[in-house]
Amino acid sequence: MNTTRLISEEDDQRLAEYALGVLEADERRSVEAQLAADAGYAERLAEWHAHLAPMLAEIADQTPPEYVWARIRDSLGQNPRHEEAVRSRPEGRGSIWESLNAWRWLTAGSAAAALLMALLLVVMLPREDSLQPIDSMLTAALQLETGQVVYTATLDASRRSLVVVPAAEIQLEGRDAELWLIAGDLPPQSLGLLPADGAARLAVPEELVALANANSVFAISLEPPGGSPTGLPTGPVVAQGVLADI
Amino acid sequence: MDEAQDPSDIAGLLMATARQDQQAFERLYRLTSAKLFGICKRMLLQGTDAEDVLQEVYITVWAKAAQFDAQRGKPITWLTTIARSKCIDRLRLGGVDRHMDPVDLDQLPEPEKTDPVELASDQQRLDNCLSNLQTQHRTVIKTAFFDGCTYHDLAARTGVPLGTMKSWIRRGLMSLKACLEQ
Repeated sequence: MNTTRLISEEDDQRLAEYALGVLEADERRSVEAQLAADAGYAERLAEWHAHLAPMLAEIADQTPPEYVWARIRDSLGQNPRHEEAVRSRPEGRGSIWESLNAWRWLTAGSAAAALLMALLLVVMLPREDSLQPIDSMLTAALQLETGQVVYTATLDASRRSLVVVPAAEIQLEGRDAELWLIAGDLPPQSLGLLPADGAARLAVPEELVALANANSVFAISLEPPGGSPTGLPTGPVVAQGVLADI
Repeated sequence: MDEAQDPSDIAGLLMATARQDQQAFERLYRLTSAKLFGICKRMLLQGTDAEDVLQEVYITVWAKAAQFDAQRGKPITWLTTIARSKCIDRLRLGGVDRHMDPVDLDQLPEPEKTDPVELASDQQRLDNCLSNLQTQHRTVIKTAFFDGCTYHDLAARTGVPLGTMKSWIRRGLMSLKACLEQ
């Protein structure tokens, strides 16, 4: 199938550049807006992707660590069939030191106790992680009431940044989507407005990073353009998700 | 879940995933994640960034599986396209390490490696068309594709003026189109 005759040379070149991956973020957003508006563009882009995809055969497969699957499954709220242990991130920042400390402590015990503790250690590591908030990564899949995931949000405490990536479209109806952190019994804290399309990196003030922990909630409310005038959610909460350690 | 389903049938697994079949989704992950993670690791220098993006990729696959249209292309290409796209978006967002090493414009083509999975004949055709390009055009197109870098980064990494870089890439892409669609 070749739909190239339906599209101008200039637009075709743009789609080729998009598929190759050389465009800047704003240029990518403008191509994506065109794609959403015109099925012919999307078909043509699929052809460009298919043209270039065979190059990927040069990249060797790499099996991801097992905990990545556990994270995906957790963030979608699917039934875990894996043990808690697989959620640990063996090469994650900080965990090597925790292992070292644990092992140093273990050397004091008998060989039999060490063997037992070695087994327990695997289960304990994720909890050790949570004692070190400065190194922690928290992630949430924000879902509509229907269960559909519309955004993923990953809070990187060490970088004090929150990366929010859309997974599906959300109906804004002329309003702005505002992201909130709900921790404990405190009132919702605004994390900022989400762009109507595309991913966002939000800077998170240190005091909010300190508040966030596993079991905090991210929520999105629809607010008047420019955001909530009161500092608290005023519009309907359309999506939410619980933070989990990764 | 359809018990008779061929576990290596990616299109079938995608369609079952669209029906929110969690077991099919897990099989799809087991079958395809090594390929997609290879792409993420190639495009993003930090392993932890690659893991984060791989997670986003499969959350998107779960959410958008219904949009896969078997009439419009291979299922594996649909998946690899999402992976590349998420990697590029993450690179553009900043805050992650990206490929910035100098590019040797006269590099020889990389040794060929054949993927046994369904790409073989398309791969030969693309290799053939790439080999017709000027060496410099081929080099920058492949670098852009594998590293997900912008015109600006390509210009900086090669020492070639931005305008020249744009014209090389565009001419290369249009030559590929003429060759692949003749």
